[in-house]
Amino acid sequence: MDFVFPNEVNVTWTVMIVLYPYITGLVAGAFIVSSLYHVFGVEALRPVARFSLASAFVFLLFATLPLLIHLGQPTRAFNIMVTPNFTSAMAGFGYIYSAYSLLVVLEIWFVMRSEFIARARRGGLVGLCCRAILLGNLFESDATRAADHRIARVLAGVGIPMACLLHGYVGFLFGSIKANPWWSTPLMFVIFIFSAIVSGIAVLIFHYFVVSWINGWKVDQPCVRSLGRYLWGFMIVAVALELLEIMSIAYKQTEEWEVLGQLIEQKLMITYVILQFLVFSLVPFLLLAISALFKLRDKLANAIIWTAATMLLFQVLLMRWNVVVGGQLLSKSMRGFTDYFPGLWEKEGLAVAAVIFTLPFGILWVFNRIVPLFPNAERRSA
Amino acid sequence: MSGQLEKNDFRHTYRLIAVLVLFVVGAAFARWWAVPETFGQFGRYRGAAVASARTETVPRYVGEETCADCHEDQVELHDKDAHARVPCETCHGPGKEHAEAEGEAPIARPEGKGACLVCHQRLAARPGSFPQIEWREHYKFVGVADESVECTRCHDPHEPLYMDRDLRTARLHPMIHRCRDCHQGREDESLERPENHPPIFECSYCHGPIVEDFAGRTHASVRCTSCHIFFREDESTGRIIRDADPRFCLLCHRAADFRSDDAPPGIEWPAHREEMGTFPEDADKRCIDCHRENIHASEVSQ
Repeated sequence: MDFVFPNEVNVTWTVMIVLYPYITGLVAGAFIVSSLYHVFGVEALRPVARFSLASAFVFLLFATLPLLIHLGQPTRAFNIMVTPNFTSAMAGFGYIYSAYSLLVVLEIWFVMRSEFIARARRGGLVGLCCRAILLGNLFESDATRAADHRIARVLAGVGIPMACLLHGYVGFLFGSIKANPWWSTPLMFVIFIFSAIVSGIAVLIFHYFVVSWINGWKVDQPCVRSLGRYLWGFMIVAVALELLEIMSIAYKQTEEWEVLGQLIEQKLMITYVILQFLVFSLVPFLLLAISALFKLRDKLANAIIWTAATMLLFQVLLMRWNVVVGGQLLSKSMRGFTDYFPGLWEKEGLAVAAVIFTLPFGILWVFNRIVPLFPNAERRSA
Repeated sequence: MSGQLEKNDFRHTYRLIAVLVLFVVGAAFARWWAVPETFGQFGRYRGAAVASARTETVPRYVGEETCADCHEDQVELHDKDAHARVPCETCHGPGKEHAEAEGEAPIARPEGKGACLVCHQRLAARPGSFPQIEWREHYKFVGVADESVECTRCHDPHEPLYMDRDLRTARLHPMIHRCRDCHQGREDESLERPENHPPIFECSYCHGPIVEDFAGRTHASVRCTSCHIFFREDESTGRIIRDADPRFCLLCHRAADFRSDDAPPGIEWPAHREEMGTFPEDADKRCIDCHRENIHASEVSQ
């Protein structure tokens, strides 16, 4: 037949590869919130500063787990670290991810050293673990606290460009695949950074409310309002960029549009046009605008902000889905499309994805048992 | 907490710095230990792998002729049918071990729809002339209600279309185009030809009387090429089949528990033929010998 059929029966990058940029985005976003307090001194965010740093850490622990599950030979994943090939985008990610992990661990070490010391002094197995984390040195004074504060601030400052780089790099992995017109755009990096920040803030708001509700705490109103406003601002930029990207391709009517237009019209109408934009972008935008522009009662404002944040979590997940899966639905011949929907119980299926996404919350719960993330939380009056 | 900090105030970080230094040293050691000596000799891989691959890699495929030594019947069937150009080991996998052990070593016998759909799943990138299906649509077309039924319940992979004559010598026919050859797999594409479509090659141009006659027969809703399957050979020609083997008709008409209510009329086989007569001359009768009027009138058939 003089040619080989491209194998388009299987979409190789599954829902695991959707989850990977999603969780990485949560890391970068949560870290940026913590840096808003630690570096830029946004005092309103103080109540969630530690919580956001710890969230960044736990999501970081699981960011590459979907990749390991996706790999047929997970042990070989480390080869890209041991024998780095600097022309490989994925190897580059390995280094950025490792460096960033180290930075987050160090920042937690410096920011929460006092709490670890307090816990270590209480003894027990957990105390022993804390002692090990502190490398056996429990000495503390005002001067060491000041030193820790200064180092943490430097780390947080260095962390901002690194967080952007980390997630921009995930965008780079897709944006630099020039054979795929759905991915190959320099805007991809910027879009990924902003959507990461949106998802990071959204997950913090979502989780903060849930945790407060479970524990009967009063949420810190200025903090929530401030987070809501940041979320609003960043989501406007993120969605505007997403729209600009597609509008630019559509307006230019390049040869790619012939197939991308069909992709949007036929395959991604529901997940991209209706859900990602019309439902999960437009509605949170309006909700957050209302909460930011009008004087609402706290309870109503909170309900609105929480709903918008939860919806934006889905918006970013949908965006990842539409990028990762959407790009692969295109036939490599550009003549049409293939199909994909994950199974529930398969190795890279929905159940595994749900477990991976739930695990960081579990680890965060354990983290909070060791070092309280909300030491100043007030109980809600009955 | 502000004010001038002194060197001593950072004492508690010394151990941390030591750990970090240890980590860097450990990483350097790990790299030294883990990277093979010949890594990078030719490129970003272990250089010695080239030499070892030369000695370790053995040809694991044996080719159809070796298969034919023991499986002559299957190879013969296979060679005259639609899969004639598919080597045995494409489906069965490398056969060297199996052949050397004279059949004692197992050989792959692919199961499940996936094994067939690897080649026959309808994909935009595949040329329209290659046989490909959406299996649910296909099951609906032939009246298979039970989705768990496998392709092999109807199609024998060794002779998937039960051709009664050799495909390689089937009648040469000018190219027959399908919609998909020109129209990029639009899902909303209708099978109805638009009124303003430019005239292209039609069956009726050459086979006018047959096409005209066929329109009044019970099979009128079936396209000519559903039975007269066209196999493209080059840019302008291919081979077209005229299959009268009963098993070819039975692909749609065999009665089975998996058929849907609106399936094409099903018949019990071979009980049906036995019911029709026990004279010796009936033994080799084909469906078309009695049911020709459902397809083409005998005087226009050729």
